[in-house]
Amino acid sequence: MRDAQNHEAEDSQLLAPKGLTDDLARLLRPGFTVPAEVDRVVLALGRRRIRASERTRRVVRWLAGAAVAAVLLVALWVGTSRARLPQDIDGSGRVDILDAFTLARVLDERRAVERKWDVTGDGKVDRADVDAVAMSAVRLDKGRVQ
Amino acid sequence: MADSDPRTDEDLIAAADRGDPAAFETLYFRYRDWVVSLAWRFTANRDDALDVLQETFAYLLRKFPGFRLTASMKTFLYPAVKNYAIAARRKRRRFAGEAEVLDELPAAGEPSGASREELATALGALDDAHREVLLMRFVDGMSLAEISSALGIPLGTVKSRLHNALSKLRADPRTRAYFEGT
Repeated sequence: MRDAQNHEAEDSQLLAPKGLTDDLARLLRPGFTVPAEVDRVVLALGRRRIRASERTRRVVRWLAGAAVAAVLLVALWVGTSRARLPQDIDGSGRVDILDAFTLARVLDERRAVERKWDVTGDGKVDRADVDAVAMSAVRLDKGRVQ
Repeated sequence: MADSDPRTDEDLIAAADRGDPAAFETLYFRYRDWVVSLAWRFTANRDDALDVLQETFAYLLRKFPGFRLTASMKTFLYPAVKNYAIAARRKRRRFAGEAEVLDELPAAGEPSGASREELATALGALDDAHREVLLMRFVDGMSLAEISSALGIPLGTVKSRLHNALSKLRADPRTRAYFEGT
């Protein structure tokens, strides 16, 4: 309550009589109006600027959409590429002799194999698949994602 | 020009940002006369005031796209008008201070209380910073918070300057009569 009363008392010290504020407004009022030509210039600038900024926003939105689409396409391509290449044993994105070596080592060390490494399609992952990967690696178009 | 558009300034800014030139037009006419009055108060020169008007709205337009109004329009525009006006006065001649501008203002309207000269003299006798806050409050109709934000000074400082300005006017024989009976 005391704070509210102090606040009101303080505010009353910051009030000005209406006669004073009216006379201040009259004293400081410009004795001219803004010419129509000035209005035309400002509004024409406004139309140009607002339309230009809308075009800029449309371009930015388009570019942002294109960038997102490009990222999605690349991600999709990388993902499906890897899925199409069972011979890419080491997941390098290329099929080369290293993939054959990797599969051979996995078999030698009796480590777990992945079903997709059954390149020959005979239901098992064995030396035949190592040979098939090696054959893929030495083809003329070896290394290139198919 | 009467403003019949019910949209707030924030709505108009957002519409202009979306590419609506009519929204900018509404904003322009809503604040045009206040900007030119303020510019006139700083420059006391019609041509300079009109130049400042154009420069101020060009400054606003450069904020698009992406402009978001985070304060009142007067708070946003006041520093721009003041700076452009000061620059215009410096171009015209050496900057002499706002008190001298008061002496130059031709009689646009005759006060009803103290004479024009008495009121101008009493205002001129105030400290520049105190006078500025007084006029922002009672001529521009800005709230204490808006004045604080526009000038970048604490609210307490605004109140202190306003209190000092009013106390001086109350004590000044040229303007004492305004306060009698209050």
